[in-house]
Amino acid sequence: MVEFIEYVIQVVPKFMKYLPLTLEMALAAFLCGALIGLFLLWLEIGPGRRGGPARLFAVGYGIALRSVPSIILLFLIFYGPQSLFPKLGWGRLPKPVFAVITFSLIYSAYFAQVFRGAYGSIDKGQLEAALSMGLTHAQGILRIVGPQAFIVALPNLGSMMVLIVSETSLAYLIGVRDLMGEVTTLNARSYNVKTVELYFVVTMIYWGANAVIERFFGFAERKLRQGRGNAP
Amino acid sequence: MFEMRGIKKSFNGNRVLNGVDVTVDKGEVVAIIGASGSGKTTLLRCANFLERADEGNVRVGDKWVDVKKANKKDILDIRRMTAFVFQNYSLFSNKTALGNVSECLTTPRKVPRDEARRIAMEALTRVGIADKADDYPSELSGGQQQRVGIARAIAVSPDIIFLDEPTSALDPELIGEILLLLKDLALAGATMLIVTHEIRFAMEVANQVLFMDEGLVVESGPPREIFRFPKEERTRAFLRRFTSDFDYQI
Ligand SMILES: Nc1ncnc2c1ncn2[C@@H]1O[C@H](COP(=O)(O)OP(=O)(O)OP(=O)(O)O)[C@@H](O)[C@H]1O
Ligand SMILES: [Mg+2]
Repeated sequence: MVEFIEYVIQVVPKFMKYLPLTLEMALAAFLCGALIGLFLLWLEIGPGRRGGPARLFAVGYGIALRSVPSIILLFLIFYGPQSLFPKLGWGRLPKPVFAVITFSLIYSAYFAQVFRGAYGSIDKGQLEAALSMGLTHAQGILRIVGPQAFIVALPNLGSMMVLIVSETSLAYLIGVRDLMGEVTTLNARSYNVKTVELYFVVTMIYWGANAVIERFFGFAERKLRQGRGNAP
Repeated sequence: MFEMRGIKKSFNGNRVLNGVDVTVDKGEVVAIIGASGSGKTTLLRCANFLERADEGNVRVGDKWVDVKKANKKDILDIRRMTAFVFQNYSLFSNKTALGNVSECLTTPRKVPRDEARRIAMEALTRVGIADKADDYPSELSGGQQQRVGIARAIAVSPDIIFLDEPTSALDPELIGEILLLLKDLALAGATMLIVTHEIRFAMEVANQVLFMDEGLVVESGPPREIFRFPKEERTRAFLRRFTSDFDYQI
């Protein structure tokens, strides 16, 4: 047991240097996913949309992407274009890019749901008030409803970020040398002698990173709500 | 000068407005009364295109708009010449009292920030809550919130203010002070089209009263005529409920 702990403590710092790549991939996927999610929501409930093709596309996209296992989409995106259109040079892109694309696409469907829920929770009387005072629909969303919905969405966005950080651990399967990739390589190279120790180490690092992320989102929410009473 | 001509509106085949005409001259107050479901709110909402009427014309100042042909710019123009006070206030909860007012100046009307703050402060002073300028709506009482709603409306110097039962959501003891404020605005020359159940207020402040029933203006005229000598049976039936109100004045 003592030996186990000593080993873990000794190895943790060595792996810390792979954490940035993990976080970078996660952050990129988070931001792209959120943007695409907003776009999907706009397709779905933008002004004057009632059951049109845009809405249909958004809903279909959501269902399709939410119900494909990430690992399959990752393989499809990594190998698909390479084998179908080898001349495009798709394969020369850095590997983390494929992971970012995959998780952006998948999580955009969840982001759309999170944003839809938050948007729905804001009383639409305020949007009508904005319109009646001469703001355009876009201005009403950007300046009045959006900022309030954003605060409502923050806790869910925090959970999404944590989820995406954990999901990036799949990226090693296409050869990304992130935290998970390094541990897996090292484990193989050391003939699986320290398997438990090694995976315990990465677990701790993911825990630590995700704990910091959750605190950050909690802090952001409190900060933004400040001075606004209990209203969102 | 504000006019609506031949306004018709259906919801899912259900006729709610049946060809309504309204005229409000500059500086005039016109009160709309009528039973629940008679289309009063819908009429006001059609006036500034929160609801799009099926037929009819709307005029604000020199701008005539055929509701069937109105494009985004027409609608925006009409909205920027008018203001709306809501029954449930509908303040922006992410903005302070001051922010609620100045937002209506800076974003849609491109008034510079400092200028907007000055005008907003003036409006808040006029409705008597300058000291609450930095409070958020959640920190204000209903009466104070409606004052902000009214400040928002007067700050943009509209050609006309639409008010939909501005005191209906208020505690009884707060109704009087808001009505008094509205009366002051009327005396100062504001043009208003107001849906209200406050008969005494209408009697005292309105130049003209419209009685609506089933999507039509059934009877209209000066308040004293409508309230004391209603011609239509439907008006009489409606007013019977309020007879006790005639004994005193605000
Ligand atoms: N968005 C809508 N969709 C469908 N029907 C509606 C809608 N808005 C109003 N109506 C219907 O139109 C009719 C008139 O409603 P409106 O709100 O204009 O009445 P009102 O005179 O303001 O009543 P109240 O005194 O209760 O406020 C009602 O029968 C209502 O059910
Ligand atoms: Mg109404």
